[in-house]
Amino acid sequence: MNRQCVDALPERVVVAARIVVALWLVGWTSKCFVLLEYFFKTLVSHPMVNDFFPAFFRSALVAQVAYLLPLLALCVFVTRRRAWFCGAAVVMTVSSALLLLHQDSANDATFETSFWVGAWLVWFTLSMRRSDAEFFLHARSLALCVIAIQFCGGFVGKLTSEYWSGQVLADMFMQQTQGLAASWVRAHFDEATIRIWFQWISKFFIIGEGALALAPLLPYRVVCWTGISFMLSFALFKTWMIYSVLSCLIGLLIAGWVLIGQEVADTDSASLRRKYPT
Amino acid sequence: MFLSPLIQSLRALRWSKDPAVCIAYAVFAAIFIFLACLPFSAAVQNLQVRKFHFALRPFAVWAADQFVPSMYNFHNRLVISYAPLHELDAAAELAPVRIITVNHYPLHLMYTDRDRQRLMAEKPLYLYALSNYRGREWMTPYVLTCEANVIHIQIGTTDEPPVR
Repeated sequence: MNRQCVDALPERVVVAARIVVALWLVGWTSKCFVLLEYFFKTLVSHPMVNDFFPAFFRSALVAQVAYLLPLLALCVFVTRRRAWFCGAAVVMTVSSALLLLHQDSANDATFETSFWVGAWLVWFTLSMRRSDAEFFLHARSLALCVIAIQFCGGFVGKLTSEYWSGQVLADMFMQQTQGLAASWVRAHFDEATIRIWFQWISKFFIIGEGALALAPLLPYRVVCWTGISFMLSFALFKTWMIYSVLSCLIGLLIAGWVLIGQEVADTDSASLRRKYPT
Repeated sequence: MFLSPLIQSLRALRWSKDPAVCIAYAVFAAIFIFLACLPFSAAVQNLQVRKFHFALRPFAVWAADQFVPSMYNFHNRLVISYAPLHELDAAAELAPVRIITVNHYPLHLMYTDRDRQRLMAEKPLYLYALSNYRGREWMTPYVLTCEANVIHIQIGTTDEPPVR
């Protein structure tokens, strides 16, 4: 690729892609002290054989390689070549898909959200030479669609009396062994009080997820502010490890914000050119 | 007049210019419709429960369903017992049975180093995944056996509630 092609990538597009990769990697590696031990020690010392899965998706080697491979995406921070961005996006998406289907990691929603954000990034990096308004429109809308299906999935599954009453979240909160907030709350308040709180906390989550399920129909900045605040609040009621699932979604929202900035900048420069033609 | 980002994008959409974007919107719409059916459709509920219980066959169907987002769905519990539940005398033997509430995948406890080591036992372990959703209840039994340091899981048939 020649120098001209390298420089042809619009700056905001590169920044947006780098934000997505950065927060995707933050989520992916945030539990590394747990997952490295699990993938490299537990899967070898105490392997599981679940005949439901084909042999390929039972292999510890597949899980280990898939977990480490996305580190190659770090290259996007030292290059502006589109091919590297595309390659990084493909590796991130394929690794997420492999771990999502692997018997030893299929339970972890990290790999499901990572997959969808990775898929968005594959499309985005394949088109990243574009700087037309339609490209930015679609990038923003597709990002919102990714957010919407994530929260729609959570919302509809909680439309049951056990969640609405707060029973499920309270049960999990009381059983939780990790999380500073959980430990502090349990040490200072009795279970009955905590369960009363969860009647409202659970409703807050369900309504919040329902609202974010409609994200593509709402103003982008509203989704950004409320969505990011909502996701950051999760750690108060669960462990900070929930950010392994959510940080890639936060990255996607921030990248969309950067792209709106591009749209505004383009409009501003166009109007300036009309006003002060050179 | 405010136009939502999605409406703006759909207005600007051209198959000839952005076929990949058209396909992406179609995929998102399909997932959205599928998810919207969950509260009302017994078939979709059965499908999702079987996904969480690793009992959806063939594997390709389960694999496709894995990509459908479903964080913290249903009321899921895992019953852990050293004997099949039907052999237990409820009054005398319930104490060794442990019941935990779990998020979406009832076999959640297989996925940490500490918990997996705790499941290593000389005797078979009987696990039962119970899921509740809008008045319906499903149960899938599992048997865990250990040979040397290898844990084998046998998955039974999901007991589905009748469709009302």
